[in-house]
Amino acid sequence: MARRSFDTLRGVDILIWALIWINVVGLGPFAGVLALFMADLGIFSKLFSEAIETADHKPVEGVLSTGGSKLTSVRFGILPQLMPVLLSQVLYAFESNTRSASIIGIVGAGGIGLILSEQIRTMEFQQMSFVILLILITVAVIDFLCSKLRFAIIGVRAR
Amino acid sequence: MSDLTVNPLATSDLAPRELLRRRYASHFKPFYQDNLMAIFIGLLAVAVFVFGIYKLEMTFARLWGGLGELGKIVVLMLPPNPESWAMTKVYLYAVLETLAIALLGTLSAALAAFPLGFFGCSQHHLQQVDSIYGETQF
Repeated sequence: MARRSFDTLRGVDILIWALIWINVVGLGPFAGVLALFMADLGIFSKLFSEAIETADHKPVEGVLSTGGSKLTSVRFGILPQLMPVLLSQVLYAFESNTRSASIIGIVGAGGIGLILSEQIRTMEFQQMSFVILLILITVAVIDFLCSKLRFAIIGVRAR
Repeated sequence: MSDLTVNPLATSDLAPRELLRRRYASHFKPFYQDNLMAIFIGLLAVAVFVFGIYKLEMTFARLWGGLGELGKIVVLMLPPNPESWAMTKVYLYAVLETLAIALLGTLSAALAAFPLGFFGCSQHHLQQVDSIYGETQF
């Protein structure tokens, strides 16, 4: 049941969620955030549940045997194992969403997409290439920072 | 002939390769004998691919004709030029807004999805533990 709900969330693309949320909360970035939230909720729930399934349950038994509650067994038994996996999934999604967020502006859900589509429509190609350059630089910077962050959290010094 | 210590390859009149072929006939079968189904599926996939190209009218002529247009656009795109500092500020603001949307959307979804992930598990570990130790306190 839960899985089918995630499938439903995932089956609808970000652009369509954006169109739906624009009708609910109006034009602007808020609709974009909600659209990304809905689409990512489906993706993350699936990825996270699969990661949780692969986790070793012996640490959980260990925590419970020392008198821990279910909540602490999740915090100290499961979360430390999964942190690197979850983190890399979330950071990749953030990078990917930066690109998606530059698309959903086309339908009016905030971000640079509106400017970009306007420039393609009015054939201002030099300005368009400047904007594309800006997006490229932004994605490159995010990629760099994300890898730094990931290495910092899994405790390996980035080379 | 029944001397097992003698290498049969060494005593046989046949060429070694021929002997091997007779002993392990199943390994020397032509490859298509066991794989007829796989070959059929492969051919079917190629047929579907070709049919798709035909059906969607993907012709090289159209691609070739369009490539000229692509070249023109690329030439028009160079050099990148924001026109004015005022426009640059507008663009930078829009990029920051895009980043903000991505960050908020991703982070809120990740935080909400972690508890949901436990519902999606076919059998998560707390259930396993329950089945071993009886009901645990949350």
